[in-house]
Amino acid sequence: MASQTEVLENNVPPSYRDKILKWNGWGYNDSYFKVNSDGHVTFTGDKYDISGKVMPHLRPWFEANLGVDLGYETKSQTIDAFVIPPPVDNDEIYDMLKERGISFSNSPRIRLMRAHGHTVHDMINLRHGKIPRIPDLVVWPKSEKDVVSILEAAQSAHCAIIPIGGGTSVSSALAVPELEKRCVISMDMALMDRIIWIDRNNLTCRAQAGIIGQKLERELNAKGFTCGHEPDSIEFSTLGGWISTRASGMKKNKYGNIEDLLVHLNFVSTKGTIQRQCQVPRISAGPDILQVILGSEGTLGVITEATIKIFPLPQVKKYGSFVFPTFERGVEFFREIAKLRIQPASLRLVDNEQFIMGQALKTEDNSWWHSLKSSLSKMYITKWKGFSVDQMCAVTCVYEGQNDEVDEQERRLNELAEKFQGVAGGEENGKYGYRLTFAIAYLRDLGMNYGVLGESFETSVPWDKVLTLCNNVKQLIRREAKKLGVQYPVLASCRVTQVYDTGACVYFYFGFNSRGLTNGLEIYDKIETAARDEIIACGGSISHHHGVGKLRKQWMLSTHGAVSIGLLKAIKSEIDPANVFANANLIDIIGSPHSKL
Amino acid sequence: MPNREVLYPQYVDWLSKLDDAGGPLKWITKQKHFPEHSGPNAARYWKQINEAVFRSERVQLAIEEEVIRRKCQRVEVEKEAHAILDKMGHKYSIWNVKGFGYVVTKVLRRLFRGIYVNEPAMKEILKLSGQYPVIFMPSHKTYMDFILISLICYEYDIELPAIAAGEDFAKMAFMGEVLRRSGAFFMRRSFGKDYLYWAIFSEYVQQHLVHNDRTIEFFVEGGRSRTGKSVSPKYGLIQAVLEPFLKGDVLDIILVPVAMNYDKILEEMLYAYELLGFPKPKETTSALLKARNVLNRDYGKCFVTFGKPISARDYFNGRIYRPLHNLDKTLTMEEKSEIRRLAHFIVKEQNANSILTVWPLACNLFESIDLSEVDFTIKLLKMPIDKETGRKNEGLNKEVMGLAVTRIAIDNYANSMLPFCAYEAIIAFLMSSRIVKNDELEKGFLFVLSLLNREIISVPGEEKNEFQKAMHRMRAANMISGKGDEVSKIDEWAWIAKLERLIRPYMKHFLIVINCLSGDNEKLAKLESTSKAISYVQQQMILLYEKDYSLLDLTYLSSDPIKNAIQTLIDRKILKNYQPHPPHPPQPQQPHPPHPQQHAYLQQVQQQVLQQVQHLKIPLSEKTEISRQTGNICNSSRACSNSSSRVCSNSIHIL
Repeated sequence: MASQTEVLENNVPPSYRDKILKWNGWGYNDSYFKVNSDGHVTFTGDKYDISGKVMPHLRPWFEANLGVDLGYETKSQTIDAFVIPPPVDNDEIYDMLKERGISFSNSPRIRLMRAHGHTVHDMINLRHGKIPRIPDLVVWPKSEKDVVSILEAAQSAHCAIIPIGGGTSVSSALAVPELEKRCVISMDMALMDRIIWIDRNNLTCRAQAGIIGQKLERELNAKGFTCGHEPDSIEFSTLGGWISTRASGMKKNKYGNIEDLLVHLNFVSTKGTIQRQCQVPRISAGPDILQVILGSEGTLGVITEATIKIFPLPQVKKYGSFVFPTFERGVEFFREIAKLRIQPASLRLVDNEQFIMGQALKTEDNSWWHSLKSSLSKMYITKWKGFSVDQMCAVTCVYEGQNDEVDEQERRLNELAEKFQGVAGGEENGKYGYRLTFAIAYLRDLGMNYGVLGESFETSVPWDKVLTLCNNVKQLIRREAKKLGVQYPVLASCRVTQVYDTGACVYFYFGFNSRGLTNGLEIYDKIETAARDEIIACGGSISHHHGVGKLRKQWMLSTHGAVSIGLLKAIKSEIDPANVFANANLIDIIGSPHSKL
Repeated sequence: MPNREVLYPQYVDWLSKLDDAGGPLKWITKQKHFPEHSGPNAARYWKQINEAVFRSERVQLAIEEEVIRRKCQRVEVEKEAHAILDKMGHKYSIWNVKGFGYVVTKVLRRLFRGIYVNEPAMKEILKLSGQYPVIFMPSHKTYMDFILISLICYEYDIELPAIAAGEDFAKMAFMGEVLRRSGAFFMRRSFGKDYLYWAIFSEYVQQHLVHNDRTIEFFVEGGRSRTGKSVSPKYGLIQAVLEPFLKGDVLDIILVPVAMNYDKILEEMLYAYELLGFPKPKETTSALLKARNVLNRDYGKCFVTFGKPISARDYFNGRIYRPLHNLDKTLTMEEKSEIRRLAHFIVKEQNANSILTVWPLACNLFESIDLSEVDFTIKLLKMPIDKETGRKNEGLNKEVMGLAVTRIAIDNYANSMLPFCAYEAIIAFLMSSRIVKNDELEKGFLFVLSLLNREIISVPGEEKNEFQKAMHRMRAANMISGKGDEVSKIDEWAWIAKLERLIRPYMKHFLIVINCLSGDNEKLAKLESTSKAISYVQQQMILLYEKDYSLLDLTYLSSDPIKNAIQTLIDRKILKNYQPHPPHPPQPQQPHPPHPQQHAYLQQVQQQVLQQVQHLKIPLSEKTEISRQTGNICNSSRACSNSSSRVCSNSIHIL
């Protein structure tokens, strides 16, 4: 780490982010995949159910599907070797913050931890390069009053602010615009992590925006409630982050997406605080300002508190699974479910590639795939039912509710699956299906040790286009990778991960071995851009729940049209004329340093 | 234009492969392994395809609309839809192909001395065909085309194409069924406003594509070229074929232009008759059997050149914006014009890959020989006229027509040379008219090309480029040299004069057609269809010819260039097209009101054209004076007596 002349700090809180999270990868310091002395992959730590277990099929899977060679390593640089640029000087702000009793620090490592999200670019920069521009100062507000106070100080000292929640962004939303000359303050919401109240009559809960998903859920559960919002990043992402990116949860079929769950919020801007005077289920009072704040990605101000719906804990939570002969049949099954509106809490259809990938994560003692290979169940599926191993795919689901409600749901789903040649695959397999979700980010880190570049991206698409979109995008990824000189097998896989009345959310995994390429990251970019263009040409959207950030800005104009973009700009210039919230997400603002004009 | 050389290993004689395999029987009974398709879609059985087409949303919607429009029972329309599908669909099965293939291979073995295929291209296509829908787009001069493509696909393990054929083939007893069972599907020559038919047809074609059941083959020229050179492409089918790509239903579509070149064509005489206006014989099996005498002839060699596969995705990249179709499913004007451009581009590729054998060259030389020379001993056959045709083409001088048949047959072969040097020929033609300024040459080039846009198929928007390229080639060939903006001939070998002869007849022909059509107003008004207009022009030409045979070449009687000229005049709004409906049918009692406008247009624009031609100082022949009063350009009897050009030589002195 580069030396920095003077570290200025005030009352720095001990933060999980600085203590137990990796600086150059996903998740907890102690949790990662590694290859043990037998050449098998294991998972370290004690935080997950696979911790300490051996996954004998994972290394062969990596070798076969990504051409990984354990002899070829691409290890990360150490934190000491990482070069961190010195902060932009601004004496005034330090004094003002101290005066106001706000915790702050400009220590290099603390700044670095808040300088990025988790795009493949972020990871490669951390592991092998540097981050061109990072925040100059980190502050920790403890209350809405602190937020207001920091905002005043920042305006007066001519500073910019970038709020940060969980830091799990995959859209470059947290990146500091390279051309930003002002002192950039990273506003870490980590200390605003309390539940303020729970209203048992109305089944609502007021919480500070910095509360992390798992903490919110844990505390609600303890009181017999759930918020029902379960994005894949729930371990790290925050309530405020969910709102400002329009997050979507796995169980949205039962509980709704964040915009359905949100009842009320407080929003601090440079012009003052936005706060509706009532907490009602619905209102007809002109355009809904909540909808402007939802998805604003930190460009307009800071969410400080929010009221969301809560639900009594369900009597039963149960997994389920089905196997289908082809992806096509699975999609037809989903279409019918949506038509009949009988979707259980969560419903996912993984393609053949992901089905096999999931099987590779089976632990030694409990390898369904392994036993399937020789067992009757495989015989049944492949011989009796005639499924082909390289075509079949799986549906996993989660049922939540009262006993009889879940039974009924299960019965109807089983019945319907049969119509589409689906075979019930049992609860255990359903559970395993969801394991990939949390493991995937850790898996990427493993892959990166061996030259693999990987990413996930998602889209929202009308029903009639689901199948062609999935096929086309996967085919395109392989084609582009080959065209651009990728020499090893390419992973292109998708799942239909949410169903709606009019369409679905499709989630892609994409990865390739960059070994032998001098410009792997550039090639990665080209493929991802081509894939997004194809998604759009096939009727998909630029995002379903990951947001826009800076990564997908290039498609904003064609998505919304010039008038709508003008409207967004007008909102921005009304509420934040000095561009204090300078993360430059969503749109470019004329006059700001990152504007092309 | 750079020529191709037919060399091993690029070209392989398929007949010798056939022999190596141990003859037709062994060859056709070999085990075949067509490639597995990518994606979940295995090739479907024809019944499954038909069923899926019928059940498709598009067809079901069209049926619904028909029911409302006709106010009838749904079953009725459904029955009709099934009937259309049955009539349209192929019944492909590999066993039929093997059976039919045996006979065909045996016949081909006798007809041809060699069937040359550029083999490396096939290997690339094989690789692509598993991943993407592949469309073969051959140039089309004979029935032989689709037989050969299928056999070659069979040879190289490529899924045999579903071939878009005209419905008239389906009517052939027995043979129609054989074609159907080998994978041909049949389309009406015109759909009119039959939406149900259109829905079924486009769904049928697109299902093949999206599912990648089979490769597809169709002829962008819409039918066989009778004149030995490319026909202006048709846009309907190519549009239907590309639609799935534009709407994001498939990632890519691979178009493979195929150049088919023959030393001799089976239908050579048939075409000559047809071009003179004698109706095309119905496609019947007995006609095919009669064609058995062709078996005793030697048709020389043929060359099948598969061009570089064109990825629709790469081709349209940056030209069109597909996400538009997320809101509106209909194709935009821009897309349509890009597709048209692509159609022309494919014809250009077909031509660029053509093999020019010695026969067309010979025909070309032969043509320019002045047969009137006393010591010239070759005689052209005078072909029987009435015997060969059931219906008389009334009003045409039998004698003259008989002379024209052979002439046209030879001319058709000579034509196949044109694409190789058409652009240079235009420049040569302009230079012979003493146009030397660079910009004037270019202007003249564009003008001539626009008049002959149906004779010389160029890619819209590429004309200026072609001019530059042609100039460059002529400079490189030491035909011309340039100082400043002036261009001058070097031309020791009189190449300019030879090239010029390729274009001059077309220009003169064009003006003669204008002339023939600018006569009697009343008569013109009675020409209800293009075909009537064509025979009218033919009659007028014969009158001219009878007046003075030196005025025009008998090849001018060929209906194809006449049709092209008329079409060009219609495009330029010089002539007006009679819309057959409404009203339909036309009342025969009531004479059509004279079309004052039509003639006025004609006169007016004729003046324009003529003025432009004169401005370019193109001497159609040195002493031809264009009389503006009468608009008659052929009234000078001395017109063509001295020129060596084909147009003006007294070449048809058939004894």
